[in-house]
Amino acid sequence: MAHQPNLKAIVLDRIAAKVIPGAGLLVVCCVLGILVFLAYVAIPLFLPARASVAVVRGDKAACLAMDFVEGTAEPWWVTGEGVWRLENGSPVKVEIPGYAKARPVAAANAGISRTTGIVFDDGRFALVRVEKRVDGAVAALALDEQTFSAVRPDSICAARDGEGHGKLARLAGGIVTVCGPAGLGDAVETPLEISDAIAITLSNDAKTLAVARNSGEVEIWNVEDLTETRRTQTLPAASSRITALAFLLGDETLVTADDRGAVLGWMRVRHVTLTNSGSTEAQVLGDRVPAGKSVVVRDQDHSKHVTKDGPVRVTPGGLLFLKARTFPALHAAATSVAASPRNKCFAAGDASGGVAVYHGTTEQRNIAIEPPVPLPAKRVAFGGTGSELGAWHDGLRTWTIQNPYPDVTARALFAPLWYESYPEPELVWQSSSGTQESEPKYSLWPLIFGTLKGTLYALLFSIPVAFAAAIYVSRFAPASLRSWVKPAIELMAGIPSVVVGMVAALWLAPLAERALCGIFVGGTLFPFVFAGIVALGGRLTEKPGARPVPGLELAGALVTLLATVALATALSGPVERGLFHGDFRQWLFEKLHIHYDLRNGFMVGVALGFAVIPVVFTIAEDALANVPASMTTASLALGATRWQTVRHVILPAAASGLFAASVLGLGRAAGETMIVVMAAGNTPILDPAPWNGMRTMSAAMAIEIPEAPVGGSLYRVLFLTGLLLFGFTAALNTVAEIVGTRLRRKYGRN
Amino acid sequence: MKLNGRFWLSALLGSSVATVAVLADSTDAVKVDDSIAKYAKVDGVRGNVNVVGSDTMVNMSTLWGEEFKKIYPEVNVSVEGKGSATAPPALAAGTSNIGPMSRPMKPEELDTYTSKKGAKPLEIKTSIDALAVVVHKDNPLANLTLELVDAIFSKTRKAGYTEDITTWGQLGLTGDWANKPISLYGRNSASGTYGYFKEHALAKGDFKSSVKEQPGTAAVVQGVAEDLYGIGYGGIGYITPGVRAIPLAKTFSDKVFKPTYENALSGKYPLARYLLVYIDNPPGKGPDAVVREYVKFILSHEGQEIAVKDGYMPLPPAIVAKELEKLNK
Repeated sequence: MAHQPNLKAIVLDRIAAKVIPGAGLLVVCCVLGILVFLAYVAIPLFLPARASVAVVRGDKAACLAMDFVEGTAEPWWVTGEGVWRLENGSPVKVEIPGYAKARPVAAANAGISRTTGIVFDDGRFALVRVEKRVDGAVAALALDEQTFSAVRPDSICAARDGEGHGKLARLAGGIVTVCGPAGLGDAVETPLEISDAIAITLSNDAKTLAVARNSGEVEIWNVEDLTETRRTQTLPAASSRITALAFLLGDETLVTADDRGAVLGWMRVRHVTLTNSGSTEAQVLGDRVPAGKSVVVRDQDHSKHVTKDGPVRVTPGGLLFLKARTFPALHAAATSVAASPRNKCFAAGDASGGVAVYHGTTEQRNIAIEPPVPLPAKRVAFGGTGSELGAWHDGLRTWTIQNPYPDVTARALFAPLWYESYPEPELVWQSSSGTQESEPKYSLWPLIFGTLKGTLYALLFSIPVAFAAAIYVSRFAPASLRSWVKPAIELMAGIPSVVVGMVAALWLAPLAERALCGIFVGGTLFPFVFAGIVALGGRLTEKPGARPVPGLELAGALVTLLATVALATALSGPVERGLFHGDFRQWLFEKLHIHYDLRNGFMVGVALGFAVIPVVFTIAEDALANVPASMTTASLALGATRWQTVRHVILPAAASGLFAASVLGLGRAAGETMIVVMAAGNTPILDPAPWNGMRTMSAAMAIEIPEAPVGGSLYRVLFLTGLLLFGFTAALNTVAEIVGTRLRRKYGRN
Repeated sequence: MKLNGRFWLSALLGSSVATVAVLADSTDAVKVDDSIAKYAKVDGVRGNVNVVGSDTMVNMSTLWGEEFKKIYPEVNVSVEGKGSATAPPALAAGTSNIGPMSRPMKPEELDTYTSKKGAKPLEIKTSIDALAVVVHKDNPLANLTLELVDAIFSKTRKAGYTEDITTWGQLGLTGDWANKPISLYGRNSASGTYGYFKEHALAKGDFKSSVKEQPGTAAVVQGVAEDLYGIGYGGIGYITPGVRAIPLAKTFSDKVFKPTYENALSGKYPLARYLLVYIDNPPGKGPDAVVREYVKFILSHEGQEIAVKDGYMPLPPAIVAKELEKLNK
């Protein structure tokens, strides 16, 4: 009989012994699972791109141009005989309606318009698109026909302008002629003043023509209006000759490849003209302007560095191409370059037969295809989705390329990159835009920096307050006070952070802005008021053998606070008028160039600090209260005052606990999301100052994950950000845990 | 002949007073054209209408949904608006059947959608929005050009203005305002408004990092209303008495226009756009009955009146007819 309850206990004990570690294990597994999932999503970013052969078919004909049937991965190509495509592995001719008798003499892909410009032997020129119709039939379509003189060109380049008209530049015997509609649609032919051209390319918008000359120079021509073509720039001559060139999507970058295989990127960068009307040489931002001359330099905010009535004037200098990117070289002389219609990728073929795919922004070679035959890759072309690649050596070859994240590399994430339209390499987070023509900018530094900045200001505010409160509550406060102060502070942890964020953003921030001078005055006065009150209070209570009056300190603190606020309120008006010309915020801007932003680090520090205080306070208070009574009593018995005891006995003994409290607070602040989303302005800037905002990693994730296409670059980068943040907070919590354990061992309690 | 921007600026500001005075007469009272037919109820419409997409259109979508449900009580309507970029994935995944967007789908979004659904979605114009550049109601700024807007908001300044504009004085304001710093507010990047503004006002350039990104247009307007030196942008439907929409010109040589219905329709106001919805359009079958009726409702007199009620502009009858035709193909 006596065994019965014991058996039950044993059974329960056994179950508990299995269930409890099991539950613990489950928690560990969940945490690890999250870690694994984050890594699983982020890791594909760094997997190498691949190209797999799709079609290989020998063909002795000379290919004039190749392209892909719209909406498919099926190639089509142009020879002197006409337009061809593959059906069941063998070539079939595609009839272009209206061109049954005409023979192509030259052809070129017309950039992102997904058409190919073909010049026929009767002088006609049309933009041809081959597409799959709804019924499954493949048909060719001549989109815009124009007739020019029947010259047999060495090569052509084509583009489609904003109105849908084709524009063509032809190269015959070193002479370049631009042909296309002008004015009310009449076709005109404008020869350019160049006689030694060897390669040409038109921009996707048909406004800019780049001409490589035998001399090694590349000339940039504005051909927007064919009755008024003009040379806008000559890129400096290299010792080699440019043999292939192309504009990348967006027309901001011109890629040139030369006969030694070097591949360079030239970017349109805003320039300014500095004109010096003075009589002595002037210098602006290191750029020298001789007297009476004007120079064109890269715009680096020069206008901010000239005085209004000085001799130097700054006027627009236009967008000029500047050598900004150097790509890994090809194995041999470049033969052909083609830009992707989807992103900043481009493909280049060389004389040894190799084909490589590069990414314009990151300067990386994503794919290098070894020469399939030792013959030059005469043509390269991309398909409509950017994942079909074709080349012509001794016949047709196509590849399916898997290069889903060309824009994310370790360098793009962590090092400055020179983006299009920027005057210099920068660390930028600007992950999306309305068009595919902009480069996504994925530098994580602004986010990491923002997280550290927010955390730092939160700790600057919360640690002193929480520690002071913990010391007071654990060592000075009367028991009656302690019994409600501690739960009250811990209750703060229960306030949803979105509420804290909302209050901070919508109420506190405008209030703080209006009372900015008051806060400044109050901050300055506080130490003095405090010293005054302490001196006064000391005189009042200093009696030999007097026992501390319970709660007196609290009253003193309240008086200090109220006195400071009252003084600051009273003084801020006169001070603002007297010292700061009536507007403190303006004075900051004018005298110290501080732009006090309504959403700023100071505000975030306060709001985030408010959320962190309970965490830090609770642990710090525990650590302080756990210092063995034997030590304190000994200290007091030896005649130390209460403060001396705290300062020299309790604080050193509890140091590791206080450290653990700070570190846990740090982890809490770093991971906090809603407060920063609402109060930090989400500005991804690299400025540690408290008067402007930040974008933290957590805020970036919260704001941007809804827009990120699932499985795309941004999506995975955000998961990578999550992984980094997870790692950061996990490391902090581990440190806090280790230190906490050490503390417990040291005093053998709990 | 090239003149420097500052000259144009002062000339523009000088002439602007007169222009604005003239424009101010064209009142903002917009009416739905009476030739647009009222909605006619059809029998047997049931099912779910799940709307996921644009934040700009979320109020309007909710109103459409409520009215639609009044006509068809059996139909369940749910509306969610986190930004235009959320529309294509939801449509593709089948979690929604109406995708409101304040910008057209990007090619890669179309690709993903088409690869999942096997056919392109149907794009329907629902109403017209003018994107307003707003300042605090007490701001004396008369007008702006897109070059200046670009120089205020963009760090790349692709529209071509030389100076980086950081103070109100650079925009010609004098006195107290001359040295006041400009405080920038904008939308978060998931919004079509962000993308549209970037493409059309910033000439595809980049925003300054100091633009405070707000999760909704209401928050942008709220931010500017609270910040005397603030400037922001957002759909005209969200304008409150605390802020003022600035008349805009395309370039220094163009005239300035207020964001009014006439100016948006005629294309004179440079930042006007169509608000769209995307729906599934399976080949051979066409859109579901409930979706089709919902779109017909949007394009009816009642639906267009809702657009007006929410502060947007109705479609002219010709476009309504064209959009209805798309449904019947």
